[in-house]
Amino acid sequence: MEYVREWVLSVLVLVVTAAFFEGIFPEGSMSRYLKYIFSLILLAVILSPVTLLLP
Amino acid sequence: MTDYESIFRSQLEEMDFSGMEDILEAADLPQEITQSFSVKEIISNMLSGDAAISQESVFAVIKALFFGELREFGVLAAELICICIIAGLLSSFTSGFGSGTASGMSSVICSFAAAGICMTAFYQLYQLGIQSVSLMTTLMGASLPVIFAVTAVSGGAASATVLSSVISAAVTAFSAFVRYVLMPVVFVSGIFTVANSVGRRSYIGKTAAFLRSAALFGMGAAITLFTGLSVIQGMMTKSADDLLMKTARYSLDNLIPFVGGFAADSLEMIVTCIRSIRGGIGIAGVILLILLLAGPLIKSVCIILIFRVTSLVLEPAGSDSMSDCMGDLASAASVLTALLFLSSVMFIIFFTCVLRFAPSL
Repeated sequence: MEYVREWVLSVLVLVVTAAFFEGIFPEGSMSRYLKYIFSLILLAVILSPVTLLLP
Repeated sequence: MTDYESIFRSQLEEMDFSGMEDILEAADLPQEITQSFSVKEIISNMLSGDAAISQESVFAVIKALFFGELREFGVLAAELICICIIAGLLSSFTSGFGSGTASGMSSVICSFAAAGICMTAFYQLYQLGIQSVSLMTTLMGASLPVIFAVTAVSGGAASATVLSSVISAAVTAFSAFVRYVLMPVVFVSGIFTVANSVGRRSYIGKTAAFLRSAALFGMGAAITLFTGLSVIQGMMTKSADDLLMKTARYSLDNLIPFVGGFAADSLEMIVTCIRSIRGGIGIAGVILLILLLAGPLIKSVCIILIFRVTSLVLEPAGSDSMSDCMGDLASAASVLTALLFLSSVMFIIFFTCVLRFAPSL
């Protein structure tokens, strides 16, 4: 249960941080790279519970 | 007073239903319902052919609950719409702020404010759902021992012995599964939905939708499993009880000289009266379940209605992300409400399983 709580908090913090940085850098060259990096980090966090199922 | 009625009333007087009636006080219901509710009165009304509860009072309470909750959550809807209109206004005046950064930040801050309001309402609904399922579980814990005791007295010894452990375990397991797995999953789905609406891009919208579908699938599987388990156990014990009752009646009728027939008929009369009481207790239990469900269900329907209407109103105001967020939050609230409703249906099925498998004379 503690693991699930931490997982949800991690996803939440990442999404809110990504939204925050989208607001600071709405347009421009930096924003595309930032979005891509945040997407990769978010993907890793969302898929992290799958590693528990691996032997 | 006929013989049946005198036996019925004497058996009813000796029973204690305070455990069941006290649970209503913990529920969020008007005092005129909780104070006037009596299990003995419901069973007596059933015997005399009257309605178990007054229809006028039911409609009056439903109307008062519904419009009261609508007024309370209407304020929430008004706050959300104001914030989203201000956010739309600020984003429209982008050029006035010189760069897009100030406008973008103002949109994010307005989204945070709206998200906070949405999450507060959704969390209230989640807590309500958890509390309602806990109350219904407590009711089952209070009423099932009474029903099993009466079942054992009315000739269902095998049913009472086997079903008491099976049904009690099933109620506990089902309640724990709903409160500690399914409802938290839907709550997490709501959190993800709201967090997804803060930014411009959708990151976890489909994850939230997947969690809602998973919760509904889990509920369907749990209902199928527990219903099948209870019905199969009941069918196995019914034949044993049938044999026991028929043997007792045959023994009385044929082995006792002269008065055997009268004794067998008296046994049948007493057992029939006790079975009527058992049926009445079951119906009173179902009525109690519905009363415990009514308040939270009406509140949930109001919240869902407010979320949907807010979503409709926000769409022309230009705030597409908030409009989609409110729509998805309404879906999450609908799933929570469905879980609550299906939990009460499951408990009614448990009551039916216990009452259905009575031995025949």
